[in-house]
Amino acid sequence: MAKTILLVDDSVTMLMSVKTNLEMAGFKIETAEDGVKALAKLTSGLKPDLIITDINMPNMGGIELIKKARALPGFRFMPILTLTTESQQGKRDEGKAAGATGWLVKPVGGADLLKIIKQVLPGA
Amino acid sequence: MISKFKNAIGYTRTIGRILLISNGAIFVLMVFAFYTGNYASVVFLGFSLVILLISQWFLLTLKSTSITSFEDKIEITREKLNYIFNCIAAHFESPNPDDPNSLAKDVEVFTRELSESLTQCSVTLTNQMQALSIALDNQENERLQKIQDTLLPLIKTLSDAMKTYFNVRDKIDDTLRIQVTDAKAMIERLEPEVLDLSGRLASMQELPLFPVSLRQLDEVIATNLQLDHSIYNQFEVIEHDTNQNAIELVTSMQNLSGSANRLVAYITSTITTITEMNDGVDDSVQFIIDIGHFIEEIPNRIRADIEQLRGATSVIDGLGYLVDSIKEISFQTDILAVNAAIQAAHAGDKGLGFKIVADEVRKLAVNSNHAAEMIETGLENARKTIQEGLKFKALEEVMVQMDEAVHMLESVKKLEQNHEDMQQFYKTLFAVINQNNITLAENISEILSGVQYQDIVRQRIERMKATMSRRNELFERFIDELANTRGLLTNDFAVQMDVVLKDYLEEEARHSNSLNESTEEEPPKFELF
Repeated sequence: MAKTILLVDDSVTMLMSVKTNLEMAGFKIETAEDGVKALAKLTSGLKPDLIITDINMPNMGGIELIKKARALPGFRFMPILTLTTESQQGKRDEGKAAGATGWLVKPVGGADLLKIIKQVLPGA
Repeated sequence: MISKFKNAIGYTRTIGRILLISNGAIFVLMVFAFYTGNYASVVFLGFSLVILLISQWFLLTLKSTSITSFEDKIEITREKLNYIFNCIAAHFESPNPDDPNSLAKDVEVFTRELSESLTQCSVTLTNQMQALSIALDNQENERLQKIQDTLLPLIKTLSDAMKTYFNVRDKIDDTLRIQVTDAKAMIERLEPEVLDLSGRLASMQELPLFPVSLRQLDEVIATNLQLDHSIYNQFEVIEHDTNQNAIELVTSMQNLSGSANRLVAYITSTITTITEMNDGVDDSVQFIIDIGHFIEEIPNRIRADIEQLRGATSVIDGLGYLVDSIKEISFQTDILAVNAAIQAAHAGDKGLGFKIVADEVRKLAVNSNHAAEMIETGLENARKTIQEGLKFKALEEVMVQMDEAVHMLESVKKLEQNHEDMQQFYKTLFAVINQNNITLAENISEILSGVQYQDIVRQRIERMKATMSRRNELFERFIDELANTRGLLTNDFAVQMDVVLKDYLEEEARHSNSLNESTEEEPPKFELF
C-alpha cells in the first residue's frame, strides 16, 4: 500500500513540483498551504506516514506546526522533515528543538529527496 | 576710553583760556626779541603765535559745533566698536559655516570705518583750521589774545588726547588681536566638527541645507520613490510570471510523465500480445513444418502410387482378358440355352420345365454379357485415366510442384527464424524503451526539482521588497526632519540606514544562496537529526 505524505508549503509551485515528483515515485500526497490548514487536517483524522513542511509560511510557520503536531496523540514519533530556504545553523537548532526529524535546504533534487525519504521511511 | 575723550573735550574751555595767556606771553617775547634783534626768534615766536591763534579759534569753534561733531564721531566709533564686539560674540555663539573668515571681515570693516571716522575728524579739524586761519585775518586783538592764552594748553591737551586715542587704538588692536587669536583657536577646535558636518553634507550628495536644495532633495527622493514603486511593480510581474510559468512547466511535466507512463503501459501490453501471438505463431509454424514434412513425402507417395497404378493397369489388362472370357462364356451359354430350348420344345410337355430353365439360363447369359461389356467399358475408362495420369509431362509438373513445396518449407523455416529474431528485437526494444523511460522519469523529477528555484526567487524578491519599503520609509522621515529642523537633524539617519543594510545582508545570509553553497561555513544541505 502506498505511503502517505503530507506536504505543507505556501508556494503553489513547490506543492505541485514536489507532489508530482513523489507521486511519480508511488507515494500518496496530501497538501496544505500553511501550518493552520495542515494542523486542521491532522486533527480531523489524517494520519500520514511522513510530513514535509516549509518553515516560513503565513498564519502558522513550520516550527510552530512541528511543535503542535508533536503534541497531538499519535504524532510523537512520526518523521517530520523541513524543506526550506533557511540554511543557517541557528534556525536548524530551533527546528531540531521543536522536534523536526531532518532539515532539507531548497532546492532538493528528486533523487536526493527520495533517498532521504527512504531513510526516514524504511520500506517506502 | 570714550569717557577720556569726553573729558578731554570738556577741558577745551580751560585750554582756550590757557592759549590766550600763552598768546600774550609769546607776543611779549616776540617784541623783546625784535628789540634785541633776534629775528629768528621773532619768526619762531610769530609762527607759534599764529599756531596758538589758530588753536584758539579751533577750540572756540569746537566749543560750538566741531566738538559736537567730533563727539558724534567718537560716539559713532564707539557704536562701531560695540557692533564689532557684538559680531565677535555672535560669531563665537553661532559661527557662520558659510564664511569662516567673517570675524576677520568684521575687523577689517571696523578698522576701515574707524579709519574713515578718524579721517573725517582730521578733515573736520583741517576745515576748522582753515576757517580759523581765515578768521585770524579779521579777528580782533583781544580775541586773538585770548586764543593765544589758551592755544598752548589746548595743543598739549589735544596732544594728550591724541596719545590717549592712540593708546586706546592700540588697546583695541591688542584686544582684537587676542580676540582673533582666540577665534582662530576656537575655529581650529571647531574644525573637526565642521569637517564632520561637511562629510555629512557630502554624504547627502553635497546638497546645501537651504530651502531650494531641500526642495530639490525632496523632489529627488520623491522621484526615487516613484522609481522604486515601478521596480516594485516589476517585481510583482516577475513573481507572477515565474509562478505562472513554473505551474505550466509542472503541468507539462505531469503530462509528459503521464504520456511516458501510458507509452510504457502500451508497450507492455503490446509485448504481452506479441508473446501470446508468438505462441500461436509457434504452433502455426510447427503445423506448417509438419505439412512441409508431409509434402516432402508426397513425391515418394506419388511414385509409389504410380507404381501401384501401373500395377493396376496390368491388373486391368488382366481383367480385360477375364471380361473377354466372360463374354465368351456368356455367348456360349446363350447358344447352349437356345439349344436347350429347342430340345425342350421337342420334348413337349415334359420339356416345359427344362424350357423355363433354358430361358433363365439364356437371360443369365445375356445379363452376363451385358455386365462383361459394362466391366470392359469401366476398365477401359480406368485404363485411359491411369494412362493419362502416367504421362511424363504430368509427372514432371508434379515433381516441380514438389520442389516448390520443398522451397516453401525452407521459407517457413526462414520465417520461423525471422520470427525469433523479431521476438528478440521486441524484447531489446522494450528493454531500451523501459530504460529510457526510467531516465525520462529521473529527468522529469530533476526538472520538477528545478522548479523549486521559482520559490527561492520569490522569497528573495519578497525580502528585497521589504527592505526597499524600510529604506523608503527612512527616506521620507529623513526629508521630513530635514525640512522641519532646517538641517539640524536629531536622528542619525546614516546609522539607521546602516541598520537596514545590515538587516538585509543578515537576512540574505540566513537563506540558501547558489553563490555561497561551496563555502566551508555553510551547513550541509541535507541533515537528519
